[in-house]
Amino acid sequence: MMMRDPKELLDRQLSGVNWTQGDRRAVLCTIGKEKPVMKKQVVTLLAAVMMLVLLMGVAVAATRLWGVQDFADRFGEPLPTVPVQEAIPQSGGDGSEMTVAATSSVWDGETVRMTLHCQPKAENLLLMEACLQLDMPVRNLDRDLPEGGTIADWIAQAGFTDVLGVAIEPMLNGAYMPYRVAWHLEEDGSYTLYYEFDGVADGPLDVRFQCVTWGWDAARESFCDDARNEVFDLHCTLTPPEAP
Amino acid sequence: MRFAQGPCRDDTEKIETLMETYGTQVKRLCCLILQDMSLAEDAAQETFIKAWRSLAKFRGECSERTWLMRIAVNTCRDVQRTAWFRRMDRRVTPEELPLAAPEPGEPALAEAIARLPAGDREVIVLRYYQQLSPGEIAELLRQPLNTVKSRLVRAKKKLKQTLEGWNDDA
Repeated sequence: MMMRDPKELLDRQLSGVNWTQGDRRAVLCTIGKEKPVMKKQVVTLLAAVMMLVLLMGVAVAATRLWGVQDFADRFGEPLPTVPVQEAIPQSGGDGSEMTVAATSSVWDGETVRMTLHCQPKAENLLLMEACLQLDMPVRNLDRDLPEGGTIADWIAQAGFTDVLGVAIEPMLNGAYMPYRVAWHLEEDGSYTLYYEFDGVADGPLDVRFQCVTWGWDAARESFCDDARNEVFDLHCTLTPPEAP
Repeated sequence: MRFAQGPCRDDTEKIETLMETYGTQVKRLCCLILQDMSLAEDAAQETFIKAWRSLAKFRGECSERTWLMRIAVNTCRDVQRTAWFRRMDRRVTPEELPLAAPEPGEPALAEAIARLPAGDREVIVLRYYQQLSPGEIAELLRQPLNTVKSRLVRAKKKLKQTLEGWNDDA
C-alpha cells in the first residue's frame, strides 16, 4: 500500500466535517450571554458552597439508593407533580450474575421516569455500563483518584476483582424506542440506572427491560466476551397517575 | 506573557481568529475521538467557549494549537463521561460518520481510527492528525512518556492489522 501523509489522508476522508457559520454563531452567542467576570466569580463561589452543602448531604445519605428525584436534582430538572411510585409491580430481573429491580418511577401519563437498581451476586464484582472501557478516565464512573487515572486504576484500588458489562434497553409493546439513560454508582458497588422515555397511555403501562451482560475481553479491550453473555428480562407495570 | 484577567472585547476578537484558523481541525479531531458527528459539533463549540474563558490564563507556555487541542481532548473526555446523557446512542458505529470514501488504493484510515479503543484513538489522532510528537502528546494528556509511546505502538499495531499493508511509521 502506498505510503501517504496520514494528516493529508485524514483531512481528505473527513472533508465532510467542517467548521461552519452555525458553529461560529453558536460560540459567539454563548460568549455574548456570559456574565461579567466579577459576577461569574461570585456565582462560582456560591456554586462551590452549594456543592459543599450537597456533598455533605450526600455523605449523610450514602446508604440510601438513588431514585428518580436524585437524578432530577442532578439534571436540575423538576419532576412532574405526580407521586413517586416506589412499590412497582414487577417480575423477572434475575440473571445468573446480577439482579435488576425497578426501585422508583414517576409517570405523568406522557413521560416515564424510572430507576432500576442493579445488584451483583458475587462479592467484588463491579457492574458497569457496557459502553465503557477500562482505560477511560475514572470520572466516567463518577469516581475520582488523586492523580486522575483510569477506571482500571480505580477498580484495582477499590478492591474489585471482576467486572461485568451491562446494557439494559426498555421496550414498550415489544418495540425499542428512544430513551435517555443515566447512571449512578452506589457506594457498595451496585449501580442505579435512570431511564426516561415517552409513554402515553390511559391505563397501566407495561414496560419490559431487556438486560444483557458481557464479560470483559482483554484482547479486544471492550465488553464483548460472549462466554458471559446473558439475556434476561424485567417486566414492570406502572400505575396511571391519579386524576387531579 | 498575559496577566490573569477576565475575558474582554479583545478576547472575543482573538477567539474569532482561533475559530477561523483551527475550527475545522478541532471539529475533525472531536469527530475522530467521539465517533459521533453531533457530539463532535457540540464538543468543538464547547472547546472554543472554554478557550475564550481561559484566554487570560494562557501564558504562551505551549503553542496556541497545542493549548487548544488540550482543551478539545479534555472536552471530548467530558463528553464521553456524560455520553449517557444523550438519547439512546450507545453503540455508534463508524459507518455513521460523514467520512468520504477512500480513493482506490487509499487506506480507510479515518474509519480504522474510529474503530480503535478510546485510549488508543486519542493518541493516534494526536499523532497522525495533529502531528504532535510523543513528548507533546504526553504533555498534552498529562501521561508518562512511556505510556504514550506504548499506546502508540499498540494502536499502530492495531491499525496495521486493520489496514492491510499499512506501514506508516510516523
